[in-house]
Amino acid sequence: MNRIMAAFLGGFVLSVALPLFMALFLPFGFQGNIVAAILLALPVWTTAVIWGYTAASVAKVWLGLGVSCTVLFAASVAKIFVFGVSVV
Amino acid sequence: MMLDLHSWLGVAVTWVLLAIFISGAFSLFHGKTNRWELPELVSQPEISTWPAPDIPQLLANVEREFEGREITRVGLFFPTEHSPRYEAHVDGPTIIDEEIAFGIHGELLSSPQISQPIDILFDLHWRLLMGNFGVYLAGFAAFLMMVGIVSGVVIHWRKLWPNLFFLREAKSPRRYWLDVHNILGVSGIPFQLMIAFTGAFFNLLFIYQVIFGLALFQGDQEALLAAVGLDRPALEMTNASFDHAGLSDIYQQQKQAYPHEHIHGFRISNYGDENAIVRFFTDDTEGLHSQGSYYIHIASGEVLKATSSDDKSPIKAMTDTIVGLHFGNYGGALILAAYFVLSLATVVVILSGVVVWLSKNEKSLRGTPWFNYLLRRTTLGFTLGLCVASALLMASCHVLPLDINNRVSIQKNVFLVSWLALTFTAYLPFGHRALISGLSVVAACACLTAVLAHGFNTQHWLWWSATNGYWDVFWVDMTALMFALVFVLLAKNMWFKRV
Repeated sequence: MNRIMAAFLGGFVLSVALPLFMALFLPFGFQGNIVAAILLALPVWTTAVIWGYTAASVAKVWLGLGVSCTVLFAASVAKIFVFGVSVV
Repeated sequence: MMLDLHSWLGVAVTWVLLAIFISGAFSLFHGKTNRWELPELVSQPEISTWPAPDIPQLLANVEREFEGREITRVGLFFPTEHSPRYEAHVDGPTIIDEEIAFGIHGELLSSPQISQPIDILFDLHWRLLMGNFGVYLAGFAAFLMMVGIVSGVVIHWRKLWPNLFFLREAKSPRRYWLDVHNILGVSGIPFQLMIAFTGAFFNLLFIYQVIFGLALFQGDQEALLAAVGLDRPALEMTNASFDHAGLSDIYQQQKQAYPHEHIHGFRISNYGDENAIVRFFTDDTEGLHSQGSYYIHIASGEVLKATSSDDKSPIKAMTDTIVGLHFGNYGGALILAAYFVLSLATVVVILSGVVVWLSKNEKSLRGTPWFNYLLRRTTLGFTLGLCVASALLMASCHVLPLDINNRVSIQKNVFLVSWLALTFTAYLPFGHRALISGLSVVAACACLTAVLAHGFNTQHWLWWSATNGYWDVFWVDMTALMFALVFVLLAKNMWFKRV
């Protein structure tokens, strides 16, 4: 159950964190960034679930996903608060 | 570990995916089987002979049918080759997306009383007949299918290729079904991944939209949609009444301004109000992203938003491409036929996966016997029951009188009750081969019933449709007959233990 939660729930949070980061940091303009981000959300979630089941231990999954999500969210929040959201 | 993920995921979403793929295979022909479902369309003349639409007259016809009820929105769609009728979708405080249709002379062809079976199958495909909850459930099932496909490839890729095209019937039933699962699964991977991704994308997109709206626009979804160009212009109602006579001129101007685009319909919001807005739907019928839409304030003629079919903005390209890929509406009848066959092949992949899982568990005495029994019997009854229910649903549009009360509810009940009844029939104390034989015979009879009901009701038998060039009507009958044949062969082979 712990692995299922880590893979599916952690994977979902990563599938939000990475696209959000991409929407804010990619250089393709707002629309282009959103397209790239949205299109990648489900593949990211899928990959995270698969990795969650191949990883040697559940702790590694929680740690890996937790650290990546924290870094990505922190960078996104910092960008939003410091520079705001550019819709150009 | 990965094998557990693949197996359990498959088992967990088996029934949802079976319902989605079986109903989805038929839903591909949504709008293309109208002349079979609504035989009065056959008497309508060739689409090339129809005059230009008289829009004020058509709107007057709609108002006549809804006299005494307030209308706030009217969608009107023009005749097509497969559906020679004006189709109106009407909304209001007491009207929820009621559909009526008119013929070439404005005569009423169908009312909200006359639903089409394929609409019910499409609702099952998209929302599992459960409204908004069903949308997310179907989306999550599609996502799990993506995970199942990728995990299947990860598990098997080393030993998959050397044995890919062997169908080893003689070794054991389990080996045979595993080979079927692998051959159809691997050769169908591009289609299955595409359809699972686009399906999950449609149904789960809203979740990401809400999160992005919260993170980037403090929860203002309209601001997010405006930023990506998907906003829909809206005006407050003034409550000053307005007639839509000027719409004909706007329609003509629109046709002249974009001659390469085909206008296939329009929708008026704030209907009858001074602030009424018309949205024209266009298509240049070229390639995957070919849709256009134009919002125009009717009273002033001001264009509020124009998105031509040539618009190659990233968001429009993405949405048009995903819609086109999922529905296969970019390449004509052959593409649809290919999608149909691939969807049914996916049903076989899912069923063979269940057979392999069951034979493995029963052989190694893994899992609880009652769960294996439940899975085997329910999958059997559920799948064959859905085929029977779909065929009876098709037959119902020719068996039920047009003026019977609650016709739509009766049709839905016929579908649901027969599906449920057949699912429970699978628990009768027969051997599973006898059960498959019996249910297959019932399914074959149901398919024949649909063909016979259509033939007796309309006198449009298979040969009549073929000789008069009504190929859409012909292929519905032909498909039902082919299914009947497949079910008869399945029954025979199961009875004589060949599968």
